[in-house]
Amino acid sequence: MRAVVLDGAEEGDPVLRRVRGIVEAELRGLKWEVSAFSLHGMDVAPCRGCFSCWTATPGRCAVSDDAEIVLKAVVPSDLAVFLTPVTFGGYNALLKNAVDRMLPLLSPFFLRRDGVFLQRSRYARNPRLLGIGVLSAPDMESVRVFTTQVHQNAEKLDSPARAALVLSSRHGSDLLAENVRNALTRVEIAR
Amino acid sequence: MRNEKLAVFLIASPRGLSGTSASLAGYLAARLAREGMNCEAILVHRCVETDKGLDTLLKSVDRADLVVLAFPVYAGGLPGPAVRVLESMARRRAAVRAIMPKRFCAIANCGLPDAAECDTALAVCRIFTRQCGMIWAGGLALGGGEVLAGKPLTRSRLLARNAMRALAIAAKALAAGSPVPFKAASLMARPLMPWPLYLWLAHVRFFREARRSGAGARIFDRPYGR
Repeated sequence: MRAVVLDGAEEGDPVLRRVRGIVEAELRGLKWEVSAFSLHGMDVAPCRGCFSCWTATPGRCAVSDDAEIVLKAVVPSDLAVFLTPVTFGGYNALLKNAVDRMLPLLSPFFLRRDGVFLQRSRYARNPRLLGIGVLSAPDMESVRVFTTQVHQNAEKLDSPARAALVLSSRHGSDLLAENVRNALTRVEIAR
Repeated sequence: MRNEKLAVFLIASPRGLSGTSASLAGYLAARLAREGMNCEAILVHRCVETDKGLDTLLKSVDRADLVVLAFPVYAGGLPGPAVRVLESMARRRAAVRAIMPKRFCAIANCGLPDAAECDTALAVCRIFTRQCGMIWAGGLALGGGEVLAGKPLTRSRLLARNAMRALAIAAKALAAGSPVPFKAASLMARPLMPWPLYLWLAHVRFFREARRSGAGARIFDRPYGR
């Protein structure tokens, strides 16, 4: 089983580094193969909104940069983990750029399921999605909006299981690890 | 009487002035100008490419009484460069306490037919204003914005009639220092056309574009596997 971690931490963010270490250790403990990407050091340009990935080079982005490496890793994976500081209730710019560039995972064709409009997935199987956000100060609205965003992304990507986890930067390592384990259970990975 | 207040429009679309975000912002700017406000537009994607560009953007925002962020919804949220600008604005406001409080308004448009797809992105904008001491002046959400194809709203009068009415109402309120009225938000959220027609047009458009670029037969390709 393969997992991909998209790490949106800015350089020298000690809390996210600790959380990423815990996620990787938990997954490796379950005998998962983990590929982690530090987006800070990667060349991922913003999405151009050109739809070339639908109409000119279907399934591939027209921009050639490190986003292609990320996509190639995400497609065959069984779990994608988004790791970010919770930024105004959403993802930070580093992670959001990378998520925006995942448009080639979708086809240009819409469908309506339970009253919600979606884009048909390009691939038959998609990874489960676990979104982990770290909050520097308690803020319930941020928790709610972050959770909604992760669930919406999972729905659009047609992820078979999804979970959002918001951690406090003040949590100790034991509590962080316990919360990560619980979240992995929610995406049907750990028991 | 002119009130000489400044509204700075941040156009956060990679299509710049030829996108739907710019069409919506352009119409609101024209209506605000009619109400006596000065308006200035900045292209976010160009500014975030360099530190100097970002600095210029932040200085313009410092001078503004009203900031309007116009953006397309990508992956359920703001485009990455728009988030980068909000992060930079928050850092600047934390560092420079003397910046006067200013009002912040957002105009979101999404490619899916339901304007509710913009809700999370607008919630992010609202949290941003609260966390950095700005005043939330409200948000407007448009579904199916692709149909407007970046043309000035006045050239799509029939399709954009509700959007134009919404922006005119919003402009009056914003120029008077009030938030966007509920009526404007609900007018803007009205579908541009029945959703089955929108989906059909979108499918025809993408198929036609794929065929034109020689990729019609590969439109369902799975280049990276299963």
